[in-house]
Amino acid sequence: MFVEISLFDQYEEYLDCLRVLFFNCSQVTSCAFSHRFVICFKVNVKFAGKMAATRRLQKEMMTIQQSTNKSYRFMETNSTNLLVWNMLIIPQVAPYNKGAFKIEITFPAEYPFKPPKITFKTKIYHPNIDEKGQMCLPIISPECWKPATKADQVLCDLVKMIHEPQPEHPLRADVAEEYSRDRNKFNKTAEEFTKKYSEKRPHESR
Amino acid sequence: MSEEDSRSSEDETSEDEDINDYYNNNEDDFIDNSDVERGQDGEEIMTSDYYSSNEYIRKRMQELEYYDYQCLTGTEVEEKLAKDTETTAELLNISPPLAQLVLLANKWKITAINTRLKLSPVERGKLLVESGVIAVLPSHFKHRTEHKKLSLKSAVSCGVCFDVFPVSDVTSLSCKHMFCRQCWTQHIDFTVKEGMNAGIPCMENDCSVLCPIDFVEQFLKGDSARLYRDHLFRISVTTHYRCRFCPGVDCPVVLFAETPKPRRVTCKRCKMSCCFECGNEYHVPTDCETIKKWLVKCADDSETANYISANTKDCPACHICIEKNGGCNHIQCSKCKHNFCWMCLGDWKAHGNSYYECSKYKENPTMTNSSQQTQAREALKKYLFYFHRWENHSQSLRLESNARLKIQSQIEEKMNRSEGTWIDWQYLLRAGELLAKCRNTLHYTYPLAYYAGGGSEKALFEYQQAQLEVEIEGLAWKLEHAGEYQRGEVENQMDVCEKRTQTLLARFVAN
Repeated sequence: MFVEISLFDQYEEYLDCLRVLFFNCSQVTSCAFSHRFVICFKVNVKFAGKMAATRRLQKEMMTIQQSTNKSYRFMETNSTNLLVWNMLIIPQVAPYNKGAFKIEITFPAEYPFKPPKITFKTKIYHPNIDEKGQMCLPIISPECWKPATKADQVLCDLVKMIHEPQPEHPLRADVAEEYSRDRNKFNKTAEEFTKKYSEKRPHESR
Repeated sequence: MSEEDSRSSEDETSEDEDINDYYNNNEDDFIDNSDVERGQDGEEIMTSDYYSSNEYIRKRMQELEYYDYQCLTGTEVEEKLAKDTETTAELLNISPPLAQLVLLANKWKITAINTRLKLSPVERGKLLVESGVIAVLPSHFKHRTEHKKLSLKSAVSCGVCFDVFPVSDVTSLSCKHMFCRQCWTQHIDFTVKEGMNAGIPCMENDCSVLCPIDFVEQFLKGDSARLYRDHLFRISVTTHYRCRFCPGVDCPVVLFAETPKPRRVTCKRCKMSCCFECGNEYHVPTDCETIKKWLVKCADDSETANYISANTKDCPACHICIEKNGGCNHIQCSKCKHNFCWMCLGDWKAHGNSYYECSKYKENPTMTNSSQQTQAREALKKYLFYFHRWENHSQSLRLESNARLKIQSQIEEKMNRSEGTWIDWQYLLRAGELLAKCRNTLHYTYPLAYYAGGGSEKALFEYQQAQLEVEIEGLAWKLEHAGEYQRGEVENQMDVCEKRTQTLLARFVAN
């Protein structure tokens, strides 16, 4: 499918933006048409979806950067691809409050009509997060996902899950059992894991 | 019991026995059964005669065999659904598309909806909230609408794409969550393509209001609209308590019954049959709940079972390896001519009469106070005991269905050699069909036996099960060796089999 998009205002700005985001220069062609600019570019359906996704993600990124929530922030090395976010989770509650955890959020091209995926890049000892860094977060499960759910809501839910583990729906049954039976032992192991594997916490000043 | 013995000895000696004699013998058998019942269950003395009488059994069997159902086409079902929707719309005083949402959420049980409405005036609101027609009860609603009216004057920001639109370009469901038409289109399109099993919800987080058909269709065209209609029809039929899709592959027929019961329904188009209530293979005498549990257990544990049970067994006499190629469990070793039972590997001589005990699992009496590990092993042993028999009979069913096809060609062969006419050999086909039917019942008695508690009920059931099994194997043997047996003998055996099946089933229809 080919889409023809004509832009009459702010053409330069838009063209740059598109180039940076996801198009090769060859895919974006421009030509002069009387006194106005017309851009014609060939986009397949996936690109069209991606465009809506990136437009929204840009705005969402801004909101998160301006937010006062101390529990998450973007990594300095965040990728230029808007569909992949590298973030740092900074828990405020023991036994995880001695470190920070890297996560990767991947947004599908169909976002926000399909949910993002989150994986932990830092090892964490938690009943709801497995060794591969996968987790079961209801808000981003395909059955519960709603297009109007925003990324900061997802992050808040994620932080809440880290602060309050849910041993009733475990991904690691052994850890969940330890959490419910021997809390002291669980806290000790989790703290050791945090010390050993987690990232350095960024300075609180922001 | 003595009746039994004399009958089986007669069986061996006199070949041309009158069928009527058999009927008489069978009636004796039933009285025989009632003796057992009376012996173990003293209270039933007054009624046991009736419960084992032929009249009672016939009545119960009628209930079982003649089930009132229809095979409908898509358009016929749609007419019925439309009628249901109209009725509900009038009942609740809402539009038909909204009534459809209520029906989908309530399995299309109009009577249940009606009784709920009569309970109290609040129920109507609750019903609408549960069905996804409105977001909150009408009493809480006032405050929200006023709040939204203010924002209608200005431009509205769409909560999904974050762009700002004039009021004319945004729309919402009854929950008043405003989104632009483009986002609605994409959301509906994606949800329809994903299968929309839970309906199409509002896009707002935590909002459970669903899109009714008239709202959805303004955004869809062409293929998507067709797909939506198909999905909606599929979901309507699967949720409808009186409807069931035919289990046949790609068969569009919908089975419809006024009073849903666990009975056999057969599609008139593709001849596939299933249980109307649960959609599994027809499983009388076991109930739907138990068979579901059993099938799940089999799926979970069959790896262990497969590992433990090999596909072949050794002949107990000469230890040659034997693979079973027929359905009958009475095996004659082709090498040493030893007759044995495939189930227990015991001598077949012990199986030919009422001492047939192969179908009973003997619980180890010393088990009760032993360690947990032994108990687990014992539990596995018990499961495997029943699972082996279950597997065995399903294998027999498969093999015998192949054998039925062979019978057809055998009959043609016999006719070519002018050994009797076509009509003379039809009894073989009938015997094959009856064997399949009876074995199917026997097959499904094993899950029931596995879950059954102890006591006299179970003892009687196991007795009847054993009696049925011995007759079925008898019929299978005679059918496999049809050349060696007279027509009368086979037909007598058929009759006994059928009667035994009916005796067993009658008890379970009554429950």
